[in-house]
Amino acid sequence: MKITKLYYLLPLFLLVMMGTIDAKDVVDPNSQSSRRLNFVVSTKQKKFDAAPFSFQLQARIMRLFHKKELHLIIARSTEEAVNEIITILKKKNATIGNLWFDSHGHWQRRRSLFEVGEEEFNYQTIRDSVLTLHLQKLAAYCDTNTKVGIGSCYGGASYTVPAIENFPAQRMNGDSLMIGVSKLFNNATVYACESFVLTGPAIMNAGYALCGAPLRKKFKDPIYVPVWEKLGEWNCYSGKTGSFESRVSVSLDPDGSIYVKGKNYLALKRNKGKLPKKLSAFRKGNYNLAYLYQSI
Amino acid sequence: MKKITIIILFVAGTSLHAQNPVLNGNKPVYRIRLTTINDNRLEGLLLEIKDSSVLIYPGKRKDWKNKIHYSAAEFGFSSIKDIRLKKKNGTWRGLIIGGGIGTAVFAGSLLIPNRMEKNHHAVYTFFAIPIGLITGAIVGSTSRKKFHINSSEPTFHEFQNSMR
Repeated sequence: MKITKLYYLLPLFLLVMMGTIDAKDVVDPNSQSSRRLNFVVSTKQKKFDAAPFSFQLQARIMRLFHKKELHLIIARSTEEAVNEIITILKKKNATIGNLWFDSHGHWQRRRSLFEVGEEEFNYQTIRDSVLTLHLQKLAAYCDTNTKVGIGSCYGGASYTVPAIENFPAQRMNGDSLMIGVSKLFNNATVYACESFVLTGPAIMNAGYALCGAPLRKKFKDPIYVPVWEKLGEWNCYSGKTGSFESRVSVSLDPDGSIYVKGKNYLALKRNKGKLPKKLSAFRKGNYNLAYLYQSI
Repeated sequence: MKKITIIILFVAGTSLHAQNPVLNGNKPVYRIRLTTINDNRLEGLLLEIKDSSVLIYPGKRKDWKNKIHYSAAEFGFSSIKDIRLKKKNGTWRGLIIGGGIGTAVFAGSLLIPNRMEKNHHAVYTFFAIPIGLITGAIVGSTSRKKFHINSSEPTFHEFQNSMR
């Protein structure tokens, strides 16, 4: 689930503008190759959805200032997205520097995933050569220096969802998904979150806007404890070395490149000691089991 | 003649037998909030009350209307702690009943004018109907039938009988 705070819509523009000024100092020099472009892939919504709307709006604003590097792809399917990306890459004779998939995660499906349109990619479907037919075309434009971000909640979750009523405990297999994505994109480096991914204000400001916890009551159920315990924690899989690194928090730069923060979100001064207090207030029954039945 | 009577009785009997008290035609009447013995919650639409379990559609009325297919959830009495039911259109029914009572009060004040002073009459006229409507709507929207099953079979059967 991708979560949005809507209260910031008015000062959003100002914050983003400030972000463009501040973030110039913290851009990773490795991703600044002139022949590398950054892509943000987001799904075209049929109905209004606050999270992708917010993300797309912020990416559009950032694109005004980083037209050379940042490209926002809003597509209904991978075919549409991939065709658009390849057209841009061919036109500019470039390769992919950063590729960010903006998507919802679905806790009720009890597996790590990301979606483009109605196509779901999880640890099983990512290995299917038919389902990933269009994404495979991007491999030619990727290498081990390419960074891929799975921007869905629980996209890189490696824990097990606790058993509840008729549903047994199940592993999320986010690590397998990350390996699959890395292989698909020519051994690229893949980043994915263990916990929630928020679309707060100034998301492309190299800050902690992607990290945090949602306010809704349904997330304050013991079933979500593994997610809360790993707030703001991202995993990194390097296709080059074939190894996992438990990274600290990840962010997006104003030009759309993936930026690894120096400190974990939970280690920040403002968040210290808050988690145990919050976890102790969790109650059974806040989560509606109907969501689990809906995903069968 | 005898044959016709038998046929009528048979048809009536089968139709009565097939009638599901929690369905109005093809639409579920009740919204259910079930608390399991482990304190987990499930909200949906009540599809059927069986001899020892309840069958629930795990979606909203809107989903049902849009024919979104979800697998039904079945809960045996042994895993049920509480059941709360809310009937369809409770708010509208409350509005109508409250409005009716308000109108009756207003009409009563018109019918017996001598018993009231003029300003009292004006007050009743002004407030009776809207107060009736608002109170009715609040009561209608918040009223729920609550059943404590607590994994007990007799209590479940009581619930089952009360729904017939």
